[in-house]
Amino acid sequence: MEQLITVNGLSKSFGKEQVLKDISFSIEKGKIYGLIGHNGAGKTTILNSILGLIDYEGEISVLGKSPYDERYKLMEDIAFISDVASLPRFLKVKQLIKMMSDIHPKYNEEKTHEYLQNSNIKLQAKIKSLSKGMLAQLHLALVMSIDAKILVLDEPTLGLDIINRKNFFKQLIDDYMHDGRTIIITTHQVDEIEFLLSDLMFVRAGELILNCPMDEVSERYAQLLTNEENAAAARELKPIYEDKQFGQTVMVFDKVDAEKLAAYGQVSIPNISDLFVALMQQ
Amino acid sequence: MNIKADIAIVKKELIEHKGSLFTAPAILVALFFVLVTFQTLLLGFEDFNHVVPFHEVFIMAFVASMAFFSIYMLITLFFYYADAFSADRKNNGLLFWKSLPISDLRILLLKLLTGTLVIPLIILCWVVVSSVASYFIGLINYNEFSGVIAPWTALSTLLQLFAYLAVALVIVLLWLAPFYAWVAMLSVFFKKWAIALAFVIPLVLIAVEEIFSFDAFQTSFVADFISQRFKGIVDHSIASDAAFNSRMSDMDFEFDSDNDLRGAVIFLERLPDMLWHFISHVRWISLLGGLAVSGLFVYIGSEYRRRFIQG
Repeated sequence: MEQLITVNGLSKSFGKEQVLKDISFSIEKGKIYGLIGHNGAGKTTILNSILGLIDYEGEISVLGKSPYDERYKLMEDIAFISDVASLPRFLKVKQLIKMMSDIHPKYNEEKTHEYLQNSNIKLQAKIKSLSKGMLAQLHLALVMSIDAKILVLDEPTLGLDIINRKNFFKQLIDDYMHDGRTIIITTHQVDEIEFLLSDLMFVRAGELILNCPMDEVSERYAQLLTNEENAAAARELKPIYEDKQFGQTVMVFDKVDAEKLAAYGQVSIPNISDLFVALMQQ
Repeated sequence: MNIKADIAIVKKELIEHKGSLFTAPAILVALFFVLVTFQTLLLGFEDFNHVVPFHEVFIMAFVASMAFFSIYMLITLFFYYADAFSADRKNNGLLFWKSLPISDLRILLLKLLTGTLVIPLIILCWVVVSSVASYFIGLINYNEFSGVIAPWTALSTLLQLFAYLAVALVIVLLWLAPFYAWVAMLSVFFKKWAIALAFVIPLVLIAVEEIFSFDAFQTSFVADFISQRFKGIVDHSIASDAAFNSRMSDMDFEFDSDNDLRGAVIFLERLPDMLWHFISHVRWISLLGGLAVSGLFVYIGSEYRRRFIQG
């Protein structure tokens, strides 16, 4: 599969604090990557490095270019949203669309009009008068109208209520996810994007602790719900995480045969948030 | 080179600063029109009407309006540069601008271009608007016996004045470019603090220079340099150009004297000579040096913006 981004030995320090520690990974065409981690884990720093917004140690190649040296050239093929509230507030929606059309060679104005057709966003409205949900809708419509090779979404739904978050991802699925698009997305609401993802990346304290396709997650990890009697025996199989819930014990295992586990209780595939909690506390 | 993108950025700058470029001048011109019309209707212009021909008043009004809007422009440009170079950071907005395929240097150069050429041109248009307003005020006060000038005569006068004074103004603005670029660069680093720091930093440098020179009466190099920048646009020989002085010797702007009723018209006739005299004495090497320094300031600002400002 074609690799669009390769990252080798990426490290970054702010003053004396090292926020990224020798990270390496690659992003393949046509996949949707979820980059997940705590606040301050280094997700945004990884994205900012890929987008050429900050200097770094190590090697990054994005579509064959160095992002830090050639950021503005790369932006013809990368669309990103880092903060939906960052749209210029003094412009009207119509003016912003026209400006995008004049500046971006791969932007399609008609597509934006199509995306906004069923929304409450008026073309004559000032951007500062839009609600946060509308801003997110408008920003997404703008970036989806760019014929970009990679779409980067850094906490795109931060500060939105659940309805607007759902609408945001619904619009992303309905209008964008086709023709082998490549997306990198970070969010705190991991459950809400689980169904979107083809690959999962967990970042903890500046290190990439998990980087695998979703299919592999279901093959590799198993969650066991067991009672007190069987818990001791299950512990022998070395769970990576254990917790008590409503009088029962929940354990998460890495590379342990599900059939073996079935002898001790109910086995299932952990969802992303359970796996995230398990790996973060490892 | 995407000219459409460049025009879009300039347009965006104008929309962002429309208050000082369009709203405020429109209010000022409207106020001027209303006040002068009321005043002339209430008090009458009879005495003036007999003494000064309409054409003279029209030229005088243009020159007065030019003087007023030139001062307005210098102030507006100072605040434009102090704001525009950091305005993209408002509300985390730089993240949006950095998502576009346009470099930081190009954006800042377009801001510089907007301040150096586009904004002055817009403000000069307000001079034209106020002159047109003064023409209509003239129509109210003058009658055909005291020499109302035809609209095309007024337009021709207006265009001549506009063209000559616009050239002179652009040269002055290019001369002042390092000062504006200095404020602009500080704005990238310190946002609104740039307004105060633009003055504080040179003052501190002068003070340090004075302290370490151990001579309170010695002239400061920094102070000298700044004062030369503001005063020294033309070389010293300009005042001793005998041929020019002789050509201009009969010109007098004392309009209350019977001999000089046509002072403003003479001024208009001699404007090309005066402009050429000014251009031929401009210190062009210094001006170009100043532009290079301005470019350097903008480059430093753009590199800082590219390397250290993410949102």
